[in-house]
Order: sequence, then C-alpha cells, then structure tokens
Amino acid sequence: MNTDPTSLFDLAPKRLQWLSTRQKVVSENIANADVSGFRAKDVESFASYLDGARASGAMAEAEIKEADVGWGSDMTGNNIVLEEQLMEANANAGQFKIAANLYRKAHEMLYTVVGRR
Amino acid sequence: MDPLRSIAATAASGMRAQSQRLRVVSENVANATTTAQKPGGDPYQRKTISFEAKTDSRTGAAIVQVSDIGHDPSGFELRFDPSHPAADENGYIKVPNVNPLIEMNNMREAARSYEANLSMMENARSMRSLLVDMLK
Repeated sequence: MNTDPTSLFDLAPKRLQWLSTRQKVVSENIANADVSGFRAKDVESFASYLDGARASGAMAEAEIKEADVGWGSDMTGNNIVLEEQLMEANANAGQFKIAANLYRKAHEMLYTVVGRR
Repeated sequence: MDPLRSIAATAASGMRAQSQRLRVVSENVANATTTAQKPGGDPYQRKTISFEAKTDSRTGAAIVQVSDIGHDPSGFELRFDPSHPAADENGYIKVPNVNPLIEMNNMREAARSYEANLSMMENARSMRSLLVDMLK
C-alpha cells in the first residue's frame, strides 16, 4: 500500500483542516452580513495551503485573506452577499463529506489487509 | 468548474437578483402615494429594474445580475384636490405612476422565481449527496 507523503492519510486531514477553516470564515462572513463596511473574507487556495503545510510540516491554520467577490456591495462598503455565502457553505459541506468518506475508504482498505471486515 | 457547484452559483445569483427586484417593488408600494414637495412638482416616479446575464469571474458560472434600476417614464395622473399642499394653481396634484396591481404581480413573480432558484439549489445539493454517498 502506498503510504508515502502524497497518500490519502496525509492529504485528507489537510483537506479537512482547510475546509473547516474555510467553513469558519464563511460563518463569520454570515454573522457579519449586516455590519457596516465589513469586507468578505476567504482562505488561501488549497494548493497554497498545501505548499505551506508541506514546508512547515505542521497542521497549520489556513491563511485568511480578503475575498475577491464580484457581486457588489452596499452603501457602507459591506460586500457580503448572503446567497453567495450560503452557496459557499453548502459547497464546503459537500467537499468535507467527500474528503471524510475518502479517508474512511482508505481506512477500510487497511482493515482489509489486517483481515478485519 | 464542477457543474453541480456552478448550478449553486447560478441559483444563488438568481435569488439575489429576485430579492433586489422585491426591494424595488416594496419601494414602489411604500411610495405609492408620495406626492411632490412643492406645489405643481413631480411626485414619486415608479422605479423599474432590469437584469442581465453575466459570467461570474471567480467560478465561471453563468449568473444573472441587476443591470439597471431606472425610472418608469409613463405619465402621472392628475387629481383635483385644491386643499393639498402640492396642488398647482388650478388645484390639481400629480399622483405617482405606481399601479398597485402591477406591483403585486411583480411581487408574486419575484417570490415564485426566488423559490424556483432555491429548489434548483436544493436539487443540485441532493444530486451531489447521492454521488458522494456512492463512496459508502
């Protein structure tokens, strides 16, 4: 079985970690949807998070930056669009489910080798 | 771009557009009897909203957005009411060109379109979860 650093056991937890940080950022955006002048936040891309995590070797938090949303802003400069944030939250949940299921699948493959199940 | 995700982006933009439409409708309804500030002046002019198709720069999905909020150029009706502060020298006031029936129609349609977009979003989500459940 392939257990080198690019394996699922390395990649999936990082993906889950990145997705949960992203979900946290989305929920902060939704919470601040009515705060005047609040700008939407997003996390760095997964590729750049992965590079950073590989370099440091630790399970760091993904870097939070200002999002580039193009759906307009209100008069105070608040650019949170609730529909867009809900869509992101939904997409995050779906991605999380995929990563978690893949991780479980990899475990099941190991169980097969061990002889359980 | 994952098509199921771009469905979500498209539907979300539709929901936003429809809620902005509903906002314009409620502004019209609220100002349906707003007359001019000074004698002989123009009353509240009905607002109109138009949409345009656009490609979202971030997701590449085809989305809808508000292209313009303008004014309805149709004329104002005159009503004879000499005691009104906004009446001109002949005793007539101009009333807004807001027709409550049209506004109500617009409101219903905006609400139904919002629902339609929401069910597209839900549909895409349940399709995705069917797909992900195949991993089990």
